[in-house]
Amino acid sequence: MNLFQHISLKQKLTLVIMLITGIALFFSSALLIPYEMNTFQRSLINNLQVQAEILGSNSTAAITFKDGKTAEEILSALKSSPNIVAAVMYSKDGSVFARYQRNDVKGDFSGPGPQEDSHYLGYDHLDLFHSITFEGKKIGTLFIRSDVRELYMRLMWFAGAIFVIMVLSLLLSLLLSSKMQEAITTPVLDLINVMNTISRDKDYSLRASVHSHDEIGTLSDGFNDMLSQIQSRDSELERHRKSLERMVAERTDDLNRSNRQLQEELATRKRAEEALSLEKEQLAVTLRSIADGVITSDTDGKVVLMNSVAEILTGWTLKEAEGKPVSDVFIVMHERNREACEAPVKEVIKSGELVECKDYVILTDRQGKERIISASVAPMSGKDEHIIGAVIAFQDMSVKKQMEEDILRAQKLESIGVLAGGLAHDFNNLLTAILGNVSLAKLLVSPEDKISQRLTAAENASLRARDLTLQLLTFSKGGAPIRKATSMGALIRDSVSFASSGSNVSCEFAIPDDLWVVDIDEGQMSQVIHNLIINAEQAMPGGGTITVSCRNTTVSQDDGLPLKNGNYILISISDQGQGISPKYLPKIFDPYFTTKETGRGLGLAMVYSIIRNHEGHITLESQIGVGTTFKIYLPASGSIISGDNIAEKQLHAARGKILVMDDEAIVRESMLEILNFAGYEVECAKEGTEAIEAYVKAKASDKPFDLVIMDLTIPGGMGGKEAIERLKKIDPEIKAIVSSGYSNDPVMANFRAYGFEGAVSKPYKVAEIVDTLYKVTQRPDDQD
Amino acid sequence: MAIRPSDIYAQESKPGEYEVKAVFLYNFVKFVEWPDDKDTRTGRIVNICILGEDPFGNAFDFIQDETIDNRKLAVKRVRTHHHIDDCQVLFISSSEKENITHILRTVKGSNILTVGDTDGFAQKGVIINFYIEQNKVRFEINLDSLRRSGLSVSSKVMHLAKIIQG
Repeated sequence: MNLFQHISLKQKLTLVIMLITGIALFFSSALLIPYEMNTFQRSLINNLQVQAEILGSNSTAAITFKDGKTAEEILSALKSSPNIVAAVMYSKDGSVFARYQRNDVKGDFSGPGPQEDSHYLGYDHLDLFHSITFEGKKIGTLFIRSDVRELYMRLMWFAGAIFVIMVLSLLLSLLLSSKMQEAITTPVLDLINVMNTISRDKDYSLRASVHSHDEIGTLSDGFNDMLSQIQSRDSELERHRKSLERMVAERTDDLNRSNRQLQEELATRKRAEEALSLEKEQLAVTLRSIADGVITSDTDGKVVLMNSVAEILTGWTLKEAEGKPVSDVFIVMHERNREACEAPVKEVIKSGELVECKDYVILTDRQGKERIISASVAPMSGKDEHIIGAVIAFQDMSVKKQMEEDILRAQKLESIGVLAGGLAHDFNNLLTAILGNVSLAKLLVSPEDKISQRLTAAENASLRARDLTLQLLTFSKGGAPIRKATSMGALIRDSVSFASSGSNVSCEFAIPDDLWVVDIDEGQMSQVIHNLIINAEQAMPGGGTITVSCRNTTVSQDDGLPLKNGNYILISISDQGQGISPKYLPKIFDPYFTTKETGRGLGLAMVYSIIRNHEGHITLESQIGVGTTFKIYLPASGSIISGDNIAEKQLHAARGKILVMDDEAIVRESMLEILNFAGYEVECAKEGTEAIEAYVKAKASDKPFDLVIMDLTIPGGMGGKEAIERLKKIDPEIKAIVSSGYSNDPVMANFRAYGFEGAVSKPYKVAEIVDTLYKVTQRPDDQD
Repeated sequence: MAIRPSDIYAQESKPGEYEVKAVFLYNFVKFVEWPDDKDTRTGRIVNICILGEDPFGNAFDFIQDETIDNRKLAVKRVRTHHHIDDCQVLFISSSEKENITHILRTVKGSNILTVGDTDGFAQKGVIINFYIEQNKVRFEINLDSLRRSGLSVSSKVMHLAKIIQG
């Protein structure tokens, strides 16, 4: 119907009339055509039936006397009907008796075979079956096929006629409507004309002429009335307008004033907004740059903001967490008992006071990973001191906690070490005397004597006691390692195979050839490996595999290890044992702490101490039922490996004059006995000054000392370290051995740097001291 | 062997010459009207008489059960032309070739349909005479003899026949 909106009234009227005429004509023809076609079709069938009747009746004799030729002659009469395509006469048995076909039909047409009386109208033909009866009996069937060209032809003619009639009718109605519509359109157009003139000239005195007394006439009357009213109202309006102009001028002044005020207010607000957005930006930057996790909540305890650290630690993004209760995002529990707790957001909002968690808590992130954190919750207040929410600040303490634990352990072990060291030192001096005397006593009796056997037993017990004190001393201060550049690979293989021989565990190694060299005390380090392997073996009573692997690594501050930055080698020793219960982990390196029935609990304590003295670090990871892995970090050395010189150990027949300096009379006496026995001439001194005097005196005589043995520390007197400095000034060629119960003293480890030729740890067996003395006195530079 | 007219067309094996002629004789009855038909229309028997040697054998056996317009049919063998009074159809065997003139003289004016199957019979005055053309049994009709006999034959049959004048 849109079409109708844009065309004139005149066109509309014409269009409606034409449309109605067209539709009426169309439907009447549409009804007429099928009726006409049906009638014609019926007459066509009737004609064909009459024709069949005649032909059938004429053919009875021909059929009776089987004269096909005559029958065909009869059928040939169909030539006069050009629309007959073919005809077939069937005898009673259904065989073709005679046929006729139009010239344009090719081949012998046999038809569809005889059927009962009927007709079929196909697409382009009409078929008819007719029974031929004679004397009341059916003697054959006639089939006639006619084309229906005529039918279609007629249809075409009919359609053509209808088309012509429609065109003529429409033309006629167009002519008539264009004349008759004027009665309606003329007054309307007139009215429009007047209206246009009025709106153009604003002349409301004009009036429309009234043509008729129908609806349009009424419209014109109404229009004229309206014009009169407008005219009278116009003059009234003019009056009002003048008074209104005055009022408007007054109001405009008012408006201008308030507008100025508004603009000032807007400027103020804009400045405030800029300040606010700057503040916001600063807050965002601050939050981003804080290394702690920060979560802010509103007064309902719902998440408002999170910085990126908080996102990482909780596993939630701000987008996901925004609006969720804090307790859903920040899931924490007490570290001590793993009881769930909650950030005290609500309490802080209520009280307005900062709450700092005293202990560490465990934060479980969205993926279920746990972290130890420290946290505090602070209230957030707005400008008017009103609380608008809370801030949770938290820090990942996992690394820090590990470090704290390490430090705590180190401190504990150190204090134990001081105690054990002091004890061991005193004990050692006593043992020196016992061992020395027992050794001497053994020399005084024949080896077959029963006393000798007792003495040997006592000596062995003393030696075990010495080992024990040595272990204690090693632990207490570690005994400064006597270091040299070593490749750990060979050492580890040797130590492991020695420790694991005869047991039911197998060892696997993963040690690269390019493993960095380390400066270590081979003996101590062997002990470390030995202890750890024994430990692993005992963890796997049913057998299993110990994996020992080494690799080079570089430690930096971020690794959270109590080590200086630099290159290290990392040795890992893993077993497949039952693991260590978490409650034992803090004590595992404590001396005299053991879970085994047979152990003394010194093995791991010593290991710890040795590694520490090597500026290394030992740590362990253990999982119940899976196994334990010890990890040892040792600093890599810059030096290269020097050739090893293994001293041959023999008892030598000795000669020479020796000065022994020791504050303990019991030690001096036993030394005197031992060295005399070994064939040396011996003099003793209680402390440094006395020793120097004796040395100078002997040097001046014709019998100077060949060697000096000095105790390192002399309480209340000059020790070996100071004495050798002075003696060196007197005689740069002096040969001296340092002896001490403190085998961990740096002088013992680096005796050459202090001017000594050798070092012996107290207590010592006769063979040990004699061997050292021999080596020192037989040095090549002395053999000229 | 009995052959019914309805079977003839259905028969695969070609029926014998006289079997066809027998059926034709039967069919002629259907197409011929006797002038004074009171005898034949009242349910009496239509007699088909065979004069002379009978060449038909069993060919007429089918006729016993047939009726035409409620008339029963019968076949009679007659010795001489003196015994033909109750014959409606008279088949003159070729054995009577010598006596044909005599026989026709006897039949004259007696409303009998004379039929023969001998060459020249039609010219001599027999109304319908069979002949063989292209292995098919056909017939000729002597129009003068027909007119004289007072019988009327359906034009449809006339159409099928060779017409002989005189």
